[in-house]
Amino acid sequence: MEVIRKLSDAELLAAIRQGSGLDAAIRSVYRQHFESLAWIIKNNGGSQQDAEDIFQEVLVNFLGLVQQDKFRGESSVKTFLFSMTKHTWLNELKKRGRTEVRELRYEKGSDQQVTDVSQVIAEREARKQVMYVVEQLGDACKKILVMFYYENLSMKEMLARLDYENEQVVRNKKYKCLKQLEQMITGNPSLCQDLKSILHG
Amino acid sequence: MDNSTQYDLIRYIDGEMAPGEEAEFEKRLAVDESLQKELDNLQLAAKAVRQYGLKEKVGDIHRQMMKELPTGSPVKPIRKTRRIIRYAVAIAASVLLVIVLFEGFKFYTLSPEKLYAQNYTAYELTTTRNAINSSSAIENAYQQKNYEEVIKLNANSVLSIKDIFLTGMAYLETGDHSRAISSFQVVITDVKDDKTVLRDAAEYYLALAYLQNRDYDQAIELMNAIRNDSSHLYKAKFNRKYIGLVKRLKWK
Repeated sequence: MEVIRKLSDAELLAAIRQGSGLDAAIRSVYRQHFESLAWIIKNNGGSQQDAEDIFQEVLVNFLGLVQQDKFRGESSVKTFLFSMTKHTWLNELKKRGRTEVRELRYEKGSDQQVTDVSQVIAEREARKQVMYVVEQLGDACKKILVMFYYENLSMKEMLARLDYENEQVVRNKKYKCLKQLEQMITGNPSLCQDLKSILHG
Repeated sequence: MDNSTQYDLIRYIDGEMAPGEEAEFEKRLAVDESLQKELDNLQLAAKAVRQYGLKEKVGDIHRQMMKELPTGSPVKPIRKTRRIIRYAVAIAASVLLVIVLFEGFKFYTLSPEKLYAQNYTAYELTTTRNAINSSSAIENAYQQKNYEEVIKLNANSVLSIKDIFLTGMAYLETGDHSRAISSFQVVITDVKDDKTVLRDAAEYYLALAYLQNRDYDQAIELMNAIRNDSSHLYKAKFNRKYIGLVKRLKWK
């Protein structure tokens, strides 16, 4: 049974950077911040689904920044997530043509200027494009590539989870899938440039 | 680029080359610009997968957490009426704050001298030719506003009630409040008839003398008595608001 414990900011950041404690860190963020951040969105014209989508987007970006050592720690995690949520939702409303929403209603005292946020918001569309391009790969390709490049599984471990004859077949499949993805990216020069800026930083 | 080179590139990215082979491959990369570009693109694709994997990971945990967290009950959005109420309450609170600050300032600046000056009207003697001829020395000195002379004459004369009253006024004008109080008290005691101009005047100035002397309880009692006396000549001088302000002085 998992012991539910509130992680301090330092513990949280360490868990995200190490990778091994990532699941617990994500759960901790949900338990500590989801309700209040969802409240901001739902009280500013958003639905429950909007709140969930925006929170996930904010969380992915936050984890990415921490893992790439780009989270400067100038503010607390709560303040950073709050600012990211506010700006991401404002950006979303603007995109939807709800320009009348100029200022969000929220609890006072949490909206400090966070320097990393503006960059993330500016790259919001490019990040969505990354997801879209990978999404275009077939399920089998996505599964193999994620197992190898995200979950860091060995060929042997992958074979145990996949329905292939042997490791070489899996290896060949992975090669083809990565090549296919690379061609999808390079086939769109502007997308390729955007991806370089956000993934290489 | 042939398939074998492509395959080597991926083996290099995946860290599957032996150390010697890897060093050799890096030498090729250093001189082959197209090979380096292809490597960059494949690394970009691998990073895109990692980003996607992170999103999937968050998505999986999100679904689990939505079952665990008490978020099933939607947060009630702020309705228009509630928003209006919020703004109204905020405005009311601001107005209240302004009122409190204003009243606080008034209390801070409240003083017996201020209330005295607000209410005081100098006592004027009638000035007909006959009256001047028959006036006492004290009356003449008072009419000339020579209050020091009034006080001096008081010490050397047998005084009428009117002279004692004028002496009290002279003390009041020169800031000797306790002597003013004694003088007015003598006048009130000696004037047997309740309904005379002099007695009413003595009561009025005695109340003000108490105020200046910071005898607030006595001042309030006398002011209330004057206010409640419908035939008192100075009834209008002490309204409820004014007496209320004198009461506030007790808290300072």
